[in-house]
Amino acid sequence: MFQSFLLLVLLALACVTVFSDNLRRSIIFLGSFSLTIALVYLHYNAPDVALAEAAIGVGLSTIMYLVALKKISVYDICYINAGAEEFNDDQIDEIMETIVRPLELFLERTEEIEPQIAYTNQSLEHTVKENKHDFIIERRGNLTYLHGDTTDPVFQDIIANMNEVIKDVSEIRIVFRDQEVNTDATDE
Amino acid sequence: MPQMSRVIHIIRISFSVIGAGLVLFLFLNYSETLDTPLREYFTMDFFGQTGAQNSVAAIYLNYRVFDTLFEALMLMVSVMEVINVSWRNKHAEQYQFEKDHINRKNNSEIVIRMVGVIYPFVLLIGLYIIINGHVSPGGGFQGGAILATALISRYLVYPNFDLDLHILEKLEKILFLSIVLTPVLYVFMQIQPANTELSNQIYMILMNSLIGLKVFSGLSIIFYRFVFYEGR
Repeated sequence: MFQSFLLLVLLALACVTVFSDNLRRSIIFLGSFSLTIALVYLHYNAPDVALAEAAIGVGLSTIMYLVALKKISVYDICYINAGAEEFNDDQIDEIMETIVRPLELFLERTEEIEPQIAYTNQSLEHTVKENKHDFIIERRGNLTYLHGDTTDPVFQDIIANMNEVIKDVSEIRIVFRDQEVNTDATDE
Repeated sequence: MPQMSRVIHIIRISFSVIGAGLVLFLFLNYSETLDTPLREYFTMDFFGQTGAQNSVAAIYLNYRVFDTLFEALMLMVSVMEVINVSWRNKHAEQYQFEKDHINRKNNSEIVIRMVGVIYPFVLLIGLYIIINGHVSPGGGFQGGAILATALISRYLVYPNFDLDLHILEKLEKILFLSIVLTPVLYVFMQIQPANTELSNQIYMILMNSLIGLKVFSGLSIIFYRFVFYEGR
């Protein structure tokens, strides 16, 4: 009973590791897979192998993968919903299927960089002053503004593939942060 | 041409299916019952013959020590590959190492404190596993890997490159030489001071410590090379 439970857990952890969308989650699942398989080795009376698996699989390779992941580039996204008075998880769940998941998938599959998404209800000026984000999504009532740099190739790709990336959002305006001054000058 | 490649594809798939079927057929029909001469040879009197209380240590340090030599050689060859087939060698002109680039800001305070607390215990359990390898489960490889984990977790706290990898590299080669020499003299040529239990145990502890130090330096070299030389 215990044995088949362990083997099923192993199978589930291996599947979750392979099919997970986020690399960091995959690494943690791989570490727990190693820990479980060390337990299985112990159950089958092989303590030497279990010790080696625990040292290599859990200690060494997890740290190595985490360091490698730290060295690859991360794309910093900020979602601003300034209209919201209270801050709770329902608002994040609301945009999960329409914006967060497709954007994460697009960045990971097509651009091969790691997305990192933050959510805030502070104002745009405050957020820009506080942190340098690569890409800012701002919701003002029905309008959705996308802020980014013209020199950023990833931002250009996101705009070019907007139909795939952002679903169910009708009104979208795009703001190029580094060209803002020029357009103001022509207006005047 | 597409027709051709499709035919080749089908041939390949059928070939692998037939091969897998053949292997499975042979495997499932294999029903020869062997006596257990090898198992008896390895487990009957291993304590009296080798002085190890752990039969695994008896096998990899005495009965089958030839295998251990080539495992040690394999690790050393992979370390040499990592050093010589390097990204840095091809791009030597554009590569420059940032010196004393202290970068503590990105590291989590929790990780730093916890690694500081755990560090001595990790070292202690690594040394324990190496020295107690002939009595309890463990041995040189496992203990060396734990020691290397301790050195690698140092990178999480203090990500600066102030180790001299050349010394570690030389140390590894010298250790490999002594790993080859010790069993050749002690087991193969039987040059023993006295064939007692005590001398056998001293041989076991010596071999385990040598293997542990060698694995420790090899894995540390691989990790620090990857982190500081291969990254862009």
